[in-house]
Amino acid sequence: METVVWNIQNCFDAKNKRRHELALLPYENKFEILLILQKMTAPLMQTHGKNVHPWTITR
Amino acid sequence: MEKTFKVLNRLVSLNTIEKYAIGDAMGAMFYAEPVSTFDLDIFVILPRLESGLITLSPLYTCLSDMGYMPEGECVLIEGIPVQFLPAYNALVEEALEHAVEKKYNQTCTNVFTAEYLVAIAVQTGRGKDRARVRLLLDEAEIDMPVLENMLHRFLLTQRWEEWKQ
Repeated sequence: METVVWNIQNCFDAKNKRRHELALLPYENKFEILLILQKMTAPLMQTHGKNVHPWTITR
Repeated sequence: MEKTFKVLNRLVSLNTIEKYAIGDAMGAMFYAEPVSTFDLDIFVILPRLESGLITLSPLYTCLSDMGYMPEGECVLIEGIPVQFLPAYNALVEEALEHAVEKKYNQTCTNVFTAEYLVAIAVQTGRGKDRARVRLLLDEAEIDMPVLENMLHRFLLTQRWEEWKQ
């Protein structure tokens, strides 16, 4: 049981560390991540009736 | 994104808007991890008309002349739906006054400070605002005395205390 708790705590710690790493990224990189997140979440939101569309950026 | 910021800066240079700052989710992204959002909320101070009225019409006309058309509540600027929100209360006006300059590649833009983003989220009070507050508290460097002073001045301490529990 102790091992399981220790492993879960490791997962939480790693996730927390990753989130802080993401927060420190340059905005330009975060923006690229946002575009990926939009593609992932838009179909889900559309099935719930939300009129959302991933951004189409001209470069 | 950079092209969108250039258009916003152009609106300032044309005096169509006096000042702008990025807020809400896209503003928070300057300080915290990226979170999915589908519009860019731009808070603006608009020039006062001779009549004393404040209206978005000149801004929409200017954008239309530049080829950017309204789409629902937003205007599509270089592929990004931008929602313009005139400063609607004293807290937002103060946040605009204290907005900070950030760079996106070679282009400068204005963003609310993390403290004002938190205070506005507390004031707005929706579920997603609460999530944003938690995100910013976890990941951004918040000057707590500055934030607590702000929350006190704008009578937001009670909700803040509730949200902290």
